[in-house]
Amino acid sequence: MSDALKSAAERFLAQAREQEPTPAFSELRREGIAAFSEHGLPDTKQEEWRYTNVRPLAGIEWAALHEPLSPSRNAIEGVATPIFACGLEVFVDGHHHPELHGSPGASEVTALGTASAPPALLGQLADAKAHPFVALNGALASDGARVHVHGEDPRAVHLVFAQGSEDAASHPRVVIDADPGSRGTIILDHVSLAGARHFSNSVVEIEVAENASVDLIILQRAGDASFHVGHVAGRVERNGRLRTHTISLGGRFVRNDLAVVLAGEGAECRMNGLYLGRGAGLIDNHTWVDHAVPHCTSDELYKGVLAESSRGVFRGKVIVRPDAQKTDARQSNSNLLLSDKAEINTKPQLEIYADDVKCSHGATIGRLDAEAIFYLRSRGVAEDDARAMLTRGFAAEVLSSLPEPSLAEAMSALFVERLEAAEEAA
Amino acid sequence: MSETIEELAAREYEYGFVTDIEEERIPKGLSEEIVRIISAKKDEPEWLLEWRLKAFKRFQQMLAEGHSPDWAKVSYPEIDFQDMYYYAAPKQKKQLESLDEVDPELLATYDKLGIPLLEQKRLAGVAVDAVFDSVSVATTYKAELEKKGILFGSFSEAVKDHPELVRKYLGSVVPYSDNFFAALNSAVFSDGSFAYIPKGVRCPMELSTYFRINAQETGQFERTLIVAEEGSYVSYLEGCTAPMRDENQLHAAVVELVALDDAEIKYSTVQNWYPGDKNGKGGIYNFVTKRGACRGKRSKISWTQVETGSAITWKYPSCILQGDDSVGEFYSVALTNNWQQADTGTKMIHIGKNTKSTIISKGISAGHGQQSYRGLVRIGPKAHGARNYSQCDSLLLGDQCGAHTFPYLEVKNASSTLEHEATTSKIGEDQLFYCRQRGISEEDAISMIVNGFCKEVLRELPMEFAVEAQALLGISLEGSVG
Amino acid sequence: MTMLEIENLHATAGGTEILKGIDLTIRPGEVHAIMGPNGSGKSTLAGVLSGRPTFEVTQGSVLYQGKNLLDLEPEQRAREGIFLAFQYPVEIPGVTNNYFLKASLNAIRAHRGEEELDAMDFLSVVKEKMKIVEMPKDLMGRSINEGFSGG
Repeated sequence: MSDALKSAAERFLAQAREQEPTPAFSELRREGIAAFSEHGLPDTKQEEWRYTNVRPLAGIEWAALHEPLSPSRNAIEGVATPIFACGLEVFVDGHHHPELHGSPGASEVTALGTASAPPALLGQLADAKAHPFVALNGALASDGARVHVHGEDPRAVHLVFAQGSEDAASHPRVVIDADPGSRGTIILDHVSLAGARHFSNSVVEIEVAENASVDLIILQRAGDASFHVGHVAGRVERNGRLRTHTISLGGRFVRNDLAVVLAGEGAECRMNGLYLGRGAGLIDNHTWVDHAVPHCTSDELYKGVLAESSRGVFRGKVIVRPDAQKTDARQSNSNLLLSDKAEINTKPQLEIYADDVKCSHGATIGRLDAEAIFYLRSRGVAEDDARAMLTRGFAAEVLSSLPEPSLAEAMSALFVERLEAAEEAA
Repeated sequence: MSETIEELAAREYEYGFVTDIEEERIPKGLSEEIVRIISAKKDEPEWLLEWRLKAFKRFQQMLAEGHSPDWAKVSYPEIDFQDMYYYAAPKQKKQLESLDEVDPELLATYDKLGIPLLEQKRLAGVAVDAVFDSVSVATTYKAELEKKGILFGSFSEAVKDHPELVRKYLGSVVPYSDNFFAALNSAVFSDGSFAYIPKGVRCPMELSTYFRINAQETGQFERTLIVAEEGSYVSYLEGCTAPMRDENQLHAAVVELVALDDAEIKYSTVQNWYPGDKNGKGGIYNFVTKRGACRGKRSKISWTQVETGSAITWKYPSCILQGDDSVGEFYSVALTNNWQQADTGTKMIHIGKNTKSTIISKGISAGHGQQSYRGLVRIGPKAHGARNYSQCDSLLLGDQCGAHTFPYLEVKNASSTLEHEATTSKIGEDQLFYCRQRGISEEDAISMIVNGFCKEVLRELPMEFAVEAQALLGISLEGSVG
Repeated sequence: MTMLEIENLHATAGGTEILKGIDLTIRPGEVHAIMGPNGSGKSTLAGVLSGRPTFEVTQGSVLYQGKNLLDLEPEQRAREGIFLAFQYPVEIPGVTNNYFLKASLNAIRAHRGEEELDAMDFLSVVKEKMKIVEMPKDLMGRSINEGFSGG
């Protein structure tokens, strides 16, 4: 590890030792500090970080304690539109703001910062020893939420993680447990209150019990100066279904890890992702699906648009364990490069130890299809409009699978807005 | 079905015999002294010895720093580099005047391998350089080729007869510092083949090298260099076999190809080193660095490999596409059976404009075989209009084997197009049933399906090799020759 | 007045000359069928007239209703009334027919100085037309040419 990474790790550890953990987090902190002290921040020699240098993140002195902001409800609604008022909870710079709470929703949401004991799932799925930022989250998390999905009412829970203070870091922790047979939609919404530079390092643990079905939507629409590292560790039991939607539209440095174990027969996982790189931003998505038992299905679709001098990274790994027969695993990653300075590194991977399986992956990298542009022009559409239409169409395949149409529309609009801003800059 | 697969898997290795011949060896172990001895045996010029010594230094450094590659998905006990011989050669009484003077034991060996070397029996249309342990023992059709200005023969002769060519190109594609095994090879390589095709010449026959490991506890470190001048064409084949032995033997070769403007090199390999027995005992460690440089405009390098042998295969025949409009191709069939492991694939490095590459990889895993496709496609910022298409398919026969796919795609140019697809599946039950329902035996049906699965690659092989490759894959020929 | 006047038209694709001096005059109301064996340049001619970027005109002129057609961008030609039926329909996943047709229609209307249709008006026009040709309703929500094959 280089000196810069070492001293950044030291600073984080000093912060962790300074703060008194809240009751729900005391055990997690102990484990987090232990793991983070041992492994520190990753360097590019580690295969998982080959294309993603954390040095820009390490070079900034992130503040742990800061003057808490008190944004109004209107300010939140302005950046986290559309608001799903049922089950709305707002976190500002990592701290829960109960006064911004919406109305009770379909699922039960508990703030963890004030909880007297950890929820049963906390620390059970995300592996601090294997993932440096999970360790860091464990060492510094002080607030977050438990979402308990119990009924069949699929109305969305909307957790807004807003950041506004300059150089503030937050390490929110979320656990989601879905009871057998339940349905739920959870939106984790990372937004910026101002153009401030900030860092969020979130960890989500989600367990989908038998026959339950959950949509997990992760929105990254923070400002261009933001840093975000997010880790989702999921486990799906027999005949359960987890669908994730990771929409990354902003940030200087974004790294998402999504690791799902299909642990019961008939379990299903669908992973959708859309990423837009702009400016000098880096967007890295790492996914990992573990077919641990037979008769499971996974289907992954990630699409990326890289503009200006942005860089995209995709690593998708599918593991089929011995005896996980009748596995059906599909994975697709497509990328559009809009500029000669943009760059993409993609690494789809299959690791298969069972024979009666159907597994495939595909990756494409290219520009907009010239024939399609010509077709649109031959029908009277101007070239710029044709390009915009095709780029939007490229993204639509992912956005249209979002379970809330109003959200799909809002994200599509934001996608176009940010894309146009990039095109103008170019 | 599993029984049939076991039968297919249990087929004996046909080339496992040992030739009883008096051999000359140098002492066991690896040191600067050994490097000097090898160089002296070959009566090499000073510059080559110096190059070897630099490589040896680099290798020692890498060894000390623990640089042996650990990223590949293969596992084997640590290799003791002091516990093997680095040079073994059949004893030769005098300078040979013609092929007829080659030791009858050696001629018989190559006959048995299906590679007759004698004038009256030799293969029509194929010039063969026969490498036995550390040295080249014979080259056929040498004179005929020389009439066209084509140089073909052993590496050692080339060092003596054409030092300027060897010096110019040796290490220019794979530098001695390239990787651990390339450094080792550069220090201790003993022989190999050299081919030079002059400007505008289309080589009238296939050039072929047949590698044979015979001696015990010996590593084979050959070095091949092929240079195709402007507008020339050559098709080169290599085959390899080794006796059945209980201990593992190391084979660490380096192959360098250089194609200048409008030149084309087609390089085909049928690799059938001893794979070890059905319990995974013995077999060759095949750790090979193969790379071609498309230096010239519109040049083309095409790799075709059928990898059925070796206990462990670690090889990535690659193309550096420097010249504008140059083309790189990689066609591969790899079969891992019993306890074989293979980590193989390619690298396509696009540097020039409008460069094109195609990757077709077919992996078949049976028994406890573990196989990985590992490939890199890199499109540099100046490779405007570059295109790549990759297709990697794996077929699984049996529930104890594994098939893995690790492509790396790195693109820095927006006007390029890259497409990668990979699939993994077992042999189709309904395909099998369909064949059997039409009266075809299960074994034939499996062969037929496997053959069909590999067809895209096998049809890239020259005819003689395609036949051998199909036989190797345990495949009947019915209706399948592309 | 002539509708289309092609004079000594030469065009190349990838450096190869395909059209070698075509002359053709078409007056309003006439229907012309261009026939010829494979590779004789029928698609090239259609491509050149519609402005397909893969072809380069090296010589000659094309007047369409008195205007120099070769000066116009493909979309301008389309708005002027040049319509190319694609031999191999282009599939554009993610862009719905509804969205695409509205954009196309409004671009042409704007070009003619007509008012653009809003979503509601467009929908009623489409519904009416779809009824005439008995098209299933779900077609409008589908992506462009998805599930069509060439011919």
